[in-house]
Amino acid sequence: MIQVPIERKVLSENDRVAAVIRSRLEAIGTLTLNFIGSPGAGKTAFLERTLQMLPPGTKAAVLTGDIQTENDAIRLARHGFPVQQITTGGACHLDARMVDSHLWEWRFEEFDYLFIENVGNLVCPTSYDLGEDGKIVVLSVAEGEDKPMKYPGIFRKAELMILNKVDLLPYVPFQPVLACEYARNIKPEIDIIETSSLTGAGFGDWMAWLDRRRITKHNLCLNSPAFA
Amino acid sequence: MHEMGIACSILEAVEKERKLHPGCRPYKVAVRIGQFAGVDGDSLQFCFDAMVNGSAQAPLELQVEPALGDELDIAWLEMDEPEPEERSLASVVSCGPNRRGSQEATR
Repeated sequence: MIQVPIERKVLSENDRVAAVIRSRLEAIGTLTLNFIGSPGAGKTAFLERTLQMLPPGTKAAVLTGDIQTENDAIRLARHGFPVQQITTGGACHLDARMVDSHLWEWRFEEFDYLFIENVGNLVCPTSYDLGEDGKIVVLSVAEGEDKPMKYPGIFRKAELMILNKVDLLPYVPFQPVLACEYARNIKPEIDIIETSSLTGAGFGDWMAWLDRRRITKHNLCLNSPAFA
Repeated sequence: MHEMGIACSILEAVEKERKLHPGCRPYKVAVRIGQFAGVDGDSLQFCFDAMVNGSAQAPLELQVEPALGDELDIAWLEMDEPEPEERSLASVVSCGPNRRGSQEATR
């Protein structure tokens, strides 16, 4: 019997593809964000309003993942930006190969933003690097405020938590303070923005966060050898 | 479904390693799963066994080891050494540059 040390990441092939995607997006200075949340957390509506509120002249694109149907892509495409649906056919998450195979079908210009809406799931998408700059977790007030404790993995990896559907707060027994406390117990430095895609509440803060993040990325890219 | 994909990636890695060690037969692979990795050890075990049973890679055992953080790594692989006559053939074919070192380190 021999024992061979391997010491390799299980998802090393996914990570390799993700690194290629990241490098290519860095070369064109695109800020790429991976949105992860439960089914029904409001990811698509949130992205719809975000697209509506982008300043004129902004170049953005969306990849949206679902197990079945192209419904989300149809909704998102109404806002005049390029959108592609990734239908996973049963898989509960997007992986880097899926993103790679769809991303380069576009004639890629210098997009300011690439938004990736992952399949509705708080567990599986957490493990897969898609070549993004950051993960954003979307939690709605129609869920339990203890979601951060139940699904710590995504709250640990996300740089921003969107607390969505706050227009429902008068009708549900959700305690935002507790949800924020639980999220910060998992990751003290996580940013949190409360939003409603229905009323637009909080979108000023969100758009300002997005713009700051884009400028930070752009400045990083300017100093990178990959930036042409 | 998620764990099925993880099991698939582990089997691909085992197959890659087997090719580096001609004549050797993998029979146990160890994986470290961190508490924040988002992978359930029991589900992974179930999916792994379901994929291996009846396949050319059987018998192959998965050993799950708990870890910290979001670690999700293949730690090591145990393999049967080739039979003497296979060994002489395998030594001609070469068992890869790391094999001798690994054997000496773990015997």
